Amino acid sequence: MNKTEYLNRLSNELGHMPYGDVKDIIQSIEEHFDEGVAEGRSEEEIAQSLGDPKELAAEFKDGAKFNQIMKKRKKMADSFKGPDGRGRIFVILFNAFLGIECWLILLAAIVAAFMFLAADAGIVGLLIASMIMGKITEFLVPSIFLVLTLICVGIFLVVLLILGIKYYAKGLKSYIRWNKHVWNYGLGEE
Amino acid sequence: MSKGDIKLLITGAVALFLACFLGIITIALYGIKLGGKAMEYDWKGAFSQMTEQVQDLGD
Repeated sequence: MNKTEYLNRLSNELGHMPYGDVKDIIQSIEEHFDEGVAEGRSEEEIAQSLGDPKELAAEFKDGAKFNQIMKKRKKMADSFKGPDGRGRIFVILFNAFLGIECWLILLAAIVAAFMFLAADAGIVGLLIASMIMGKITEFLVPSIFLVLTLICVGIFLVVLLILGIKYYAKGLKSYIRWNKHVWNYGLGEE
Repeated sequence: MSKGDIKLLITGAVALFLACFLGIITIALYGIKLGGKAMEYDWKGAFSQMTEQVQDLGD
């Protein structure tokens, strides 16, 4: 469930409350989403952490959750007063010794998978061409099984690459966003 | 993780399983074929020929 869907459902659940209260609650949840997104979390994750809109609406009716969120937001706002020197040092050191290295290792794994796929396709092509040309006669049956095995390996590598590239890009984007956030607002400690 | 990703993941898992399964069969077939060839090979002749060559070198 994304932000819009979540807010619509929450708004429907809060329908019978005074308009001003509903407006305040929706606004605060919207800000909670924006802050979460700025921290590098996805809308779905934030929606999940907030729980079912129906239950949240019930908690708002009691007033407990609203106070809790407002308290958390105040705490976060207090800690985000401006650039934090420690946060910047953390970003530099973290990236120098761990962050960038991890991302490079993952990139190397993707490149290696791509090269394995190319080699796999090359061997399959060579074997099929040899079979068609009649070069393989004695080991024909094992070679057919070898081609089938390599085709399956190729499919596995394609899947691995598609998912790998997708989640690499997604993760890197979130990581950069998190770095920016720590750089600009610090570590958010008391 | 979206439904498409889960489908892809399942496809990948099935492909990996088949690759392992067919890989074992391939190794077994190559083993049988090469084993058969090794049995047919004239090891005795080859060794005696080699022994002769070594003796010739000694002379």
